[in-house]
Amino acid sequence: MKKRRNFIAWVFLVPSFVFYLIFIIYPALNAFRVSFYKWSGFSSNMEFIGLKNFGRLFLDEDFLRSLENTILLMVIGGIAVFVIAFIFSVFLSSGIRGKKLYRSIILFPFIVAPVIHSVYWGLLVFSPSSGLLNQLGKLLRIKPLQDFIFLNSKHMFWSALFVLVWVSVGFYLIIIMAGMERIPKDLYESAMLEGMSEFQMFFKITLPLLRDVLTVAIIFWCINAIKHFELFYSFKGIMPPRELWTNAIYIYVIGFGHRTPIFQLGYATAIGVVTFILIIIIAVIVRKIIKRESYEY
Amino acid sequence: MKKFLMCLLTVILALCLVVPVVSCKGAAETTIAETTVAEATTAEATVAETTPAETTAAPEPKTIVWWTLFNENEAYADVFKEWVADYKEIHPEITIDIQWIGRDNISKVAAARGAGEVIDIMDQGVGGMVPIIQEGQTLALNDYLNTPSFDGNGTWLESFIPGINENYADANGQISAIIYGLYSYGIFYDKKLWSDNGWNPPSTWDELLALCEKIKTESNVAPITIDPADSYMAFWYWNLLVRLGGTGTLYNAYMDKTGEKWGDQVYLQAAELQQELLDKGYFINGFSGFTYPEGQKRLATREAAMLLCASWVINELKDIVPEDFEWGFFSVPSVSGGVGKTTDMAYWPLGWVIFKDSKVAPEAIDFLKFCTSASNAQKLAEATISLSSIKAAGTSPLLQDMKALFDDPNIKTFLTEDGIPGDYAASPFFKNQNDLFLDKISTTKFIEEMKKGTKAYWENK
Repeated sequence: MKKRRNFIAWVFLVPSFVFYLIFIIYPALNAFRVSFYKWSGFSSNMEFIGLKNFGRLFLDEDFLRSLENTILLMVIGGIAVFVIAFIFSVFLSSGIRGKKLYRSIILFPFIVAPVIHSVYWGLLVFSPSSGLLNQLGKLLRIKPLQDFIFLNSKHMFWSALFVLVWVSVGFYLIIIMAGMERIPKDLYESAMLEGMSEFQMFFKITLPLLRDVLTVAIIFWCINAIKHFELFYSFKGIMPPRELWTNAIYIYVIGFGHRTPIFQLGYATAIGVVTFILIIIIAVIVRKIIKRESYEY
Repeated sequence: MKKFLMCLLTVILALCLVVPVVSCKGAAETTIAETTVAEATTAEATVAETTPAETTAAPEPKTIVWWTLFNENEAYADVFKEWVADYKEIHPEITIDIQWIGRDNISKVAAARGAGEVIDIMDQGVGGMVPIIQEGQTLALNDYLNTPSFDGNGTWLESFIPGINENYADANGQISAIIYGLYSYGIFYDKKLWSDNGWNPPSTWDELLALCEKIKTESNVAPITIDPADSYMAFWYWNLLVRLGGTGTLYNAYMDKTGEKWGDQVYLQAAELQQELLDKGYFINGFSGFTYPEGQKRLATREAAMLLCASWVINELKDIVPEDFEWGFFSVPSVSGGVGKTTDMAYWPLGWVIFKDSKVAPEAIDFLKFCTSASNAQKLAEATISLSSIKAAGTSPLLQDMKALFDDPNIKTFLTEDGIPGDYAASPFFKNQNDLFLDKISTTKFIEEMKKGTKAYWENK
């Protein structure tokens, strides 16, 4: 009977496993191989150069800058997203009326295509001469706001990050709220009877019981942050400036060029390999930091 | 029964998996290396005259696959469709299969050909096709260019503006790209705005500075506008380099693998001239925060007096400019002491290549000759407000000022950014040029970074 069950399980697992091997594992292994070559991608001529692509990374200022942007996006963006999502979730869990409506409004930016956000914020909100914010400053006679250039080289990264945080909060709010709704209400009732404040209940009850959900959400955010592409790429029109280059954008630029042809697929793949390793390291670190304990309730 | 059903299910699942894998493998095997090369075929291909009048008994139907960088709703597409329809009338047996790929054409062509897709012709900004040419994937066209043109008045090569195609020849003089249209660079302005204010186009750098000062102090209009995009911010610098040191100045700096050539005075001087424009506040306020194409729009709205750009800007702004806007153009002024002239004109070309493994190379050549006839070339130039590569072809009335320069017998054409390759342009050139333009580094720091960057570029090559 057990043998038969195992056989049936394998029958259904094997096709997916083979599909995974062919379309996920094999290309990933091939990417590792390509990262040791100099290759333009136009022909089968590939020149083996060993670890030269990886060695070049440490001296490549554009790569280091894009890595810095990626890490800032992940850390600062992540803190902002989760803090705001928690604030919203506490607010929405407090028993207010219209909770579903508020949740839908907060989630709405997430379901709109990133390019639409880029056009809206880049051209309509942040534009120095006709944008909403500068015009508001002009109307209210707030000179710093009127003259502030949101999209110059100093500020454009933070402006784009602001938009990304605004877009992402809704999704993580849903995940956190789903976790919070699983927590039994009687724990909070008992805590209130014991005289705990809201603040204490959040840190002593809510956060510990959300550990599993938070681990998944944080790893998810980190992976998405590291491979983020669309919003930053389209934020300043058709040619993303270096200030907005993330790892993923730099891989694309080096591999294919943007307006100017570069076509260094071997080097781009090496960056991809480094990005992959970075994701693994971060996932391990996050799991170590947020230690898993099982709570039964 | 259950056992039979389980076995049947296993077989069906296995087939679902195996069949697509096998067909993918089959397609992957048809690589560039394995496709029957047309090298022997093209060597044998008649280099002799191919005129539309030539017909053979019962000609074999053939298809030419053309991947273009244009989208189907663009002005270029309308003309391409007309060409295809007109050619079909002459050669009913030839079908031109155009695929509207978009601006990422080169990347998609690379991927498609790697997967075994048949593509005979592609077009792109010719600089963007240099990697594919350098890989030896394209047909050398010199022999074909020495055959009669479609119009029959001289060789095909002679029908082009002198040097236009040759500038993209390789070190052995092999020409692989046929240019069908080009944009040139210079300073664009509104003649109406200028005549209302009594401003006149300058011919020297000092006159330009004086004019900018006049515009800044006597009007509400910013003297110069610009988009803070990668290559756009470099326009002033490499044009100034050419005016100071002549064509090839930037290219020579690129070619010096030690990077020390950047220490020559001319490179610093060009940076300082550009910096003078910035320091004196001649660029429109807030330009660093513009999102492309906001900068060039300021010319259309008359918030700025002039824009250094390529002539594509006329087409891009044609729906925004007011009705009384009159396009004016003048070449980047000469600089005192410089060897470059105002007739040194940079151009950015659009062109075709034919792939070496194309099985219809002779037919493709004939089609391209047809497209580059004077009448067809003029049709394209007028519809797209571009300059034609064909001497005898006219252009849109909006480009007459520029056309006059190209008709000047003293004209010397050179490539955008003096022909430096795309990867060098991206970094270190644009990277440091952007930092200089956005006031992140000084002119001397720019030179140091270019020296370092050039050396590192060649070390990594």
